[in-house]
Amino acid sequence: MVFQFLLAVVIGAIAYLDRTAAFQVMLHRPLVVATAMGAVFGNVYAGAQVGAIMELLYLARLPVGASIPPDDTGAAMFGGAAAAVAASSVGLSAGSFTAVLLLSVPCAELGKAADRLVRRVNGRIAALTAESVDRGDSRSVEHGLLAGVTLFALSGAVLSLAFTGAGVAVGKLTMGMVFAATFFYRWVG
Amino acid sequence: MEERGRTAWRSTWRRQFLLQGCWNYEGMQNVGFAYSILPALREFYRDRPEELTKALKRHLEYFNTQPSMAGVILGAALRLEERAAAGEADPREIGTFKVGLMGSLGAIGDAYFWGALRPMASVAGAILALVHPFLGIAALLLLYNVSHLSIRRKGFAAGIAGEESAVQFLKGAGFAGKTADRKIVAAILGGAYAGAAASKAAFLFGNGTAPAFLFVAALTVHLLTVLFRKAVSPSEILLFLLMIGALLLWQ
Amino acid sequence: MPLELVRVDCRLVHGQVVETWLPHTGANCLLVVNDALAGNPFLRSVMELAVPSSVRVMFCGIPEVVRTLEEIDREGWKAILLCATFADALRIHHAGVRFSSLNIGNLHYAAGKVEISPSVFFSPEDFDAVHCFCHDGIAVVVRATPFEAGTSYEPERE
Repeated sequence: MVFQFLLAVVIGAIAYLDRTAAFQVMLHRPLVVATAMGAVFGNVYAGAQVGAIMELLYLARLPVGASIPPDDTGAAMFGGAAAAVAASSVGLSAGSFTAVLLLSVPCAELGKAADRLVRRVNGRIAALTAESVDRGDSRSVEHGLLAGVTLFALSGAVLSLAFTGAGVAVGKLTMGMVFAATFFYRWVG
Repeated sequence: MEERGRTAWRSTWRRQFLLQGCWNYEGMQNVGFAYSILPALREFYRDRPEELTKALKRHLEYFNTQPSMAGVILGAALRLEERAAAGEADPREIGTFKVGLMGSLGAIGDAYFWGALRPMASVAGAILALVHPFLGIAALLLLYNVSHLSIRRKGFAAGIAGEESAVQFLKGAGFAGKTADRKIVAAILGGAYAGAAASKAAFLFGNGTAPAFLFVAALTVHLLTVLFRKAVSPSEILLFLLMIGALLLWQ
Repeated sequence: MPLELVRVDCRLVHGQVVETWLPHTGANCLLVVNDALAGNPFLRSVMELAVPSSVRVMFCGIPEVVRTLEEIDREGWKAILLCATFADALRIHHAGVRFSSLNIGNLHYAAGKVEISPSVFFSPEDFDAVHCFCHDGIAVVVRATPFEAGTSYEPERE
């Protein structure tokens, strides 16, 4: 389990970097992230199933200008992990599928708040950079940028750990609930 | 001189991928822009540290555009700096040029990359993920990045060739037409996806097909609103899904 | 007046306007009111490329704004009016253009400005302008895209 979370954090940090700070080659899209989380937590197909739906759900929100869209990468980290854990051998039940999608909404909002925070701290970094440049230190631009990238990566790693952790917990819970429901149904019937 | 100039261009080209590395609310992509153009400035203002500082300050001013389109401005700004360093151009022109172009390029880039290319790649990826997850991912990444990287490369090259060629590139690339085409492809693929997902859901859920179809209908409506741009938030769609989920569990 | 939205945005035409406000309001014409742009064909031509071909783009200086709006009205366009600063918005208002609310999209940071929203910073003069608009019964709404709830300054009721 430790190794799985470690892998999730590394993938998450890369995905979060791709989201804003570097490249923007779409490694941060829900389809990619949720499938990867599915693979890490034992069910690629369940991850991809949730990822494909999230991919389409979050298409409407564009990162235009300074307006920050909900964190679909975080939603997918959560969703992929939860789906992979909750999926039984026959696949994901419709109930847990809906539950996973709904619970991903607070993740997306939390991720957005974290993104805002990082960008605020970057404002401090940018101001310090400008001051050093005034003193004639051109290297400070490189240091400032590196600091910003590091901050994005760190926050991505922390968010990934939190969201996959929550995902695994929710996945186990829904799996338990399905068992309980089946048991209850048999007992009543 | 020429050889060293090219080395500087190449490192500017590489550094532009980190344009948003220090994105902040006050200056937005300012640190990233200064970082990208810095190798070239060091080359142009060699042995003139005061002027280097001045030039760097110019590029730490507020800057924001669509990141994949920034190469055009970066290339042209690099050329303008080269001329300013040689005393052939007024440094103030550089700021005017950047500010004048960033909004328009942002709009072109947002419409094409976020509004058309990405939906197309996403829907294609979602369809092929029904066949195999990794096929879906490959399709999404390839469809997006072939166009993305080639526009970045051509845009930077056009910028390097000068202001006029940058504008020529923007006119010649036909972004408006491309944007419209990608949107239509995305809409058609969206329809195909809804069909495929419906049949798959019917197969999976057996006699619970009615909710599955409702779900797919919701998804189709959602896709159409995305492509024809009415403000509907994902949480509204999810609320709708919750109702369907409740319906499903009720049965 | 055929105005769907009146917006102050230091970046004028950009993604938020083209990708979110145009479809949201259903407007089919963008009127950019800016004295500097009206006299710069190079920047105008780039800005025109940024707007879908189904949408008409017009540029005019502040002195011509009323005449241009009459033309837009006569031809039946539904327009969004864009200007770059509060000062321009006030001049447009005083020129006789009527609107009931003023949208603020982006006003970027400078030393001495106060943060209103992540992308909007007001200078003391901007606050005076807000007061002026409120006094004249115009609500000032800080809202970058239609997805945001926004912050508004409502006119005082008497």
